[in-house]
Amino acid sequence: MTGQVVIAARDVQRRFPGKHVLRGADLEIPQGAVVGLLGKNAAGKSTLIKCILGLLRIDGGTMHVFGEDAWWLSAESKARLGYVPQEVKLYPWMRVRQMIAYTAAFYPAWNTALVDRLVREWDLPPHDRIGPLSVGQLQKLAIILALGHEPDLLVLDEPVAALDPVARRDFLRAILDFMQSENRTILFSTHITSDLERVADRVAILQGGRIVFHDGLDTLKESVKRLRIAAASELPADFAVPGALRVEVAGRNALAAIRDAGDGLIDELRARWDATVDVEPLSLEDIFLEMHHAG
Amino acid sequence: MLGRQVQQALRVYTTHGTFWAWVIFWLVGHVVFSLGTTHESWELVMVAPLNAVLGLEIGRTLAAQFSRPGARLLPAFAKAHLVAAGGLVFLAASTHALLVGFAGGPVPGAIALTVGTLTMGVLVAVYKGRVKHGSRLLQGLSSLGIAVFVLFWLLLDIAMLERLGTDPLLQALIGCFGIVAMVAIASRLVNLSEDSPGYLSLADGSDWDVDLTAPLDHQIRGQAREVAFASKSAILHDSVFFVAFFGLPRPGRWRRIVLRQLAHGASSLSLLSAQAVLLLLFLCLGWIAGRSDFVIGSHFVYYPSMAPFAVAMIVAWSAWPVRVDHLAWESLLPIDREAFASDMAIANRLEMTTAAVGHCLVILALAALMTPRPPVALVSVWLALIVAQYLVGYNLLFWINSFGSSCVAMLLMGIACFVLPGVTTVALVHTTPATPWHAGTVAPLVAALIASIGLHRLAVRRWCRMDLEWNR
Repeated sequence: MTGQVVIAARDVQRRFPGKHVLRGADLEIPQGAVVGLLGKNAAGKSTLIKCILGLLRIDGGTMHVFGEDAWWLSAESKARLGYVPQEVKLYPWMRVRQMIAYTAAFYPAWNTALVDRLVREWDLPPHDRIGPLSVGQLQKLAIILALGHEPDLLVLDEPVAALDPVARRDFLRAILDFMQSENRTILFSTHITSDLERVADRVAILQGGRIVFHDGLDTLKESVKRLRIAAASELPADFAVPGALRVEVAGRNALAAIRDAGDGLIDELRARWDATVDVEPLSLEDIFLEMHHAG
Repeated sequence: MLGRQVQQALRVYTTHGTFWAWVIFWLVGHVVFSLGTTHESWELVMVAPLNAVLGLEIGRTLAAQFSRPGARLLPAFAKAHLVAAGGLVFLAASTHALLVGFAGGPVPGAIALTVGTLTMGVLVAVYKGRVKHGSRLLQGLSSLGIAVFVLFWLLLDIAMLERLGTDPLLQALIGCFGIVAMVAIASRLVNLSEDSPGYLSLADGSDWDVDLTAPLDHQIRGQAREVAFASKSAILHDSVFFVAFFGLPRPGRWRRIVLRQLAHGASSLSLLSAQAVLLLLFLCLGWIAGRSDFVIGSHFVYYPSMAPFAVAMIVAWSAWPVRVDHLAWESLLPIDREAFASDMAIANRLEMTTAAVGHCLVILALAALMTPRPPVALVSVWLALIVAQYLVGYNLLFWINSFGSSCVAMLLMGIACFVLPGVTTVALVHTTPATPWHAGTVAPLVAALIASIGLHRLAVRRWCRMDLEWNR
């Protein structure tokens, strides 16, 4: 990483009629990072992404991409940007090769060899029209179109939702290849946390219209743990662990998901309840679930 | 039980503001034509396009309801929806009959005409799903076809029309057509399955559809399937693409604009073909009429002034919903926001020029065929007014497009398509040989130019400030 900030969102607000989706989201993504954006359905992930791209206007705060106001992004900056939307809408009457030629015509630089290779490897029929393509094929095409000009910033909004496992694996490989150049940055939202664990080095969690966590994936995994508590006597129904995201009590046993559990807290639990406390690591999916149960 | 189901089926219509907007539009039209006229039969016929538009909306909704799996799986679904649609037709016919009866007009003629034209609209929408594709005023285009048919009728056999109010046989004939159409509609809908031609493009064809999660995508994909399998369209698209790619100018603004126009299926082509049809039509009429006073100086001047203009506007506007879906993606291509809006404005002007030239040719051809030839000064005024109309209309259209397919857009389109030609017609009818030449040409052109600059700025400003992601 070079440390240069590619995306800088500060106190971003966005409302839709009757709905306040983003309520002061802050997000700073340095160059070279691969950031996974996590959040429940309707948490505002797509809205945040669209605000970053200047597709939706923010109601408050600031949003900068490559140091420019995201809304008034220059042509030069846009040439450094690649985007794969959640719902791919291309021109259905064009053939695949025509769509590629069409898109290539807009960019000052286009890696034809890369695109041809991906079309071949991903089994896209170049002479078929786009309309009758399956959703998965459309998504593949959209990814290829987003990679063709080798953007510095690639934004993907649930890019693998419609892909089969083979295509997903190919996609992840393409992402890893893409990241060979250290100047490249990726922001992608997904519900498939295993994919995210495979490629992302940072995670941003959007909850209640705010980014509640944004740091390294390892840091997140290191900070959120599950405590398995087995007490000598029955635990009260209102048993609580200070700072816990969620506590589940069943008789003498309790499970507590906790963020930044220090040794002091664990010792205190042991002493107070005459309990054994085991600390268990959590997968990203579990962490996500625990955080949202807490929210 | 059926009553409750019909009530729920009716909610598909009544829970949408658009439906009520059409009902008000339809009602106002009927009140004006039924109560505010001299009750001549031809005036009765003037409500036909209104009926057809309402029929198309009902048909679109019906088609959208039946082109989903639930239509074949839910018990009594077909019956409830058909009864609901039939009820609406009955209600419309009764209202019209009531209004005409109140004004002392021919009630049976009114009922026959309403049922006939409404069911014709429903029939078109149900059988030709792509009619719904695009804006609501595309339905106006379809109804324009009916209006032109009526116009022909009006001009060629006025005596037959006069009989409409009095001849029970003619009334029965039209009524029978309505009944046959209803049977055909029911048959089409009840037998609709995924194997039926146009099934996909019928689905989500109505904005009143209860499932609005991804209407346009489905619609476009449906259309695409048809395009993909229609060899004629396929060859046309490929040819245009081939020519455009090899004949493209160097990289820059024009290349961008041409490419983008191309990507949207080169709507100018359909615009030209629509105008060519109208040119032929008016040539026929001009040839048949053969008199300049028939065309200029009478109410008929309205049609050559309005029809090609309305068609051009509607074709341009109806191409818009397809574009809307791609705006977000296109805006991310390497071009800044102001240039993006400016490109759209230039594309709009290109289409405007195509349409205006086509329309002027219609006027010139009409003038050339007339005997005696109308004075050059009068034709110049006509042409100037037509050009002025396009200057204002298309810049207004560029602004209207930024409102999507909202009620505001519909209202503005109504103004653009009817008020502007109305003003032209009034100005033209009041033009006499004594009118100073410059007053009829320079003045409207200057006024239109000023208005168009204002509208253009307004539109560009709005386009620069609005969200381009419309399908959240």
